[in-house]
Amino acid sequence: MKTLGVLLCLVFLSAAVPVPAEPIPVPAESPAHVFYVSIARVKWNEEITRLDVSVRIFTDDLEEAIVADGGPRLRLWTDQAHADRDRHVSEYLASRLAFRVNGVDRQLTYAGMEDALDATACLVQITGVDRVESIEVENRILIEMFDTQANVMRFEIGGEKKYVNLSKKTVTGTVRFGS
Amino acid sequence: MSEFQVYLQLGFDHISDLNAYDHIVFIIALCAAYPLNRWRSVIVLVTAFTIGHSITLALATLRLVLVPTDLVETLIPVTILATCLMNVWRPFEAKFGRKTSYGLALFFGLIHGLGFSNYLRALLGMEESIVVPLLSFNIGLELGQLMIVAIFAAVAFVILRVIGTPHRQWNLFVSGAAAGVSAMLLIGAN
Repeated sequence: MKTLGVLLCLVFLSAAVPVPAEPIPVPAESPAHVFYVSIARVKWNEEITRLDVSVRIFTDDLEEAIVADGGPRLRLWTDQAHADRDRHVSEYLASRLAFRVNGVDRQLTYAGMEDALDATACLVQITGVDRVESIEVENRILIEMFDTQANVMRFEIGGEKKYVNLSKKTVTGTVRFGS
Repeated sequence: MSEFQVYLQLGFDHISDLNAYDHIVFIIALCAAYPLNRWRSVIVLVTAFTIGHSITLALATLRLVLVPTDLVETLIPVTILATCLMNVWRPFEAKFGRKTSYGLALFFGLIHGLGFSNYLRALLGMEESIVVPLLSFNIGLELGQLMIVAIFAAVAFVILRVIGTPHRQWNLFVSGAAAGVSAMLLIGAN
């Protein structure tokens, strides 16, 4: 019992040892508590014939992925945020997301980003969409970074809601609307 | 795919993801103290844990409570370590009763729920109802936990019934291993 107590104290004390100002480099995240998911919402704005896409990506993962692509560390939502952050995020999205609407490849227009606590909501648009019969989507966001990355996509087209859950196994999905 | 299926799968994948092993280690620690003939107690314990994390997951996702991620990541290994110590400290349940054990599992669930929620909250916007995502995510977590319990019980069956190892020894082995993992997580969390 006494030995156990001593061991316990040692465990707790070791946790209390002050960390030096320049800590030993450790992975950005501890191995536990990894939750590799992005959630995209695709909503059709019928009046202005536009598809609005908002992709929520964990900010640290997004930054890591841009660094892995050879880009700078963006330090989003901090005082030292990179001046060219919009260009890098926009390029990353353009290289990992592709939309085919009614069978036609469509260009994505970057429309900014918003801070969403631990995540960043990246906004892109597809203009000139006056009807939506089918959307074929390819989503490779963070796929090469994490084996267990899941990319959920939620479509809301004229009151109809559909979901696809994409991952390394399946990076493309097709949803059809109206019947 | 329906919204329910999507979040059910996210919940199940999250709890059974070997990279996010802290919850798995906690479930194993919860089970370790119970011999095979007390499986009902294990189900009650795991369900109490689920109720606990469902409560905080809902509260945090609705932004009614906000706890810093760092604090949660320190507290989670503490709950594992505490569970392991209670497992090996034989008179705990005799002293404080079963209900205390269930209550503690519920309380520890509250802490783990904060761990899940910090991530779900960031991804779910406030623009639409989050009732279905939350509910199905929690059911997915519970199913994943029951799967972990089933796998653990199968291993325990071989060790205890086929090999015939005394339960006390098995409990000490599993609790000791889980305590070691939690100590590493605790050091890593700071």
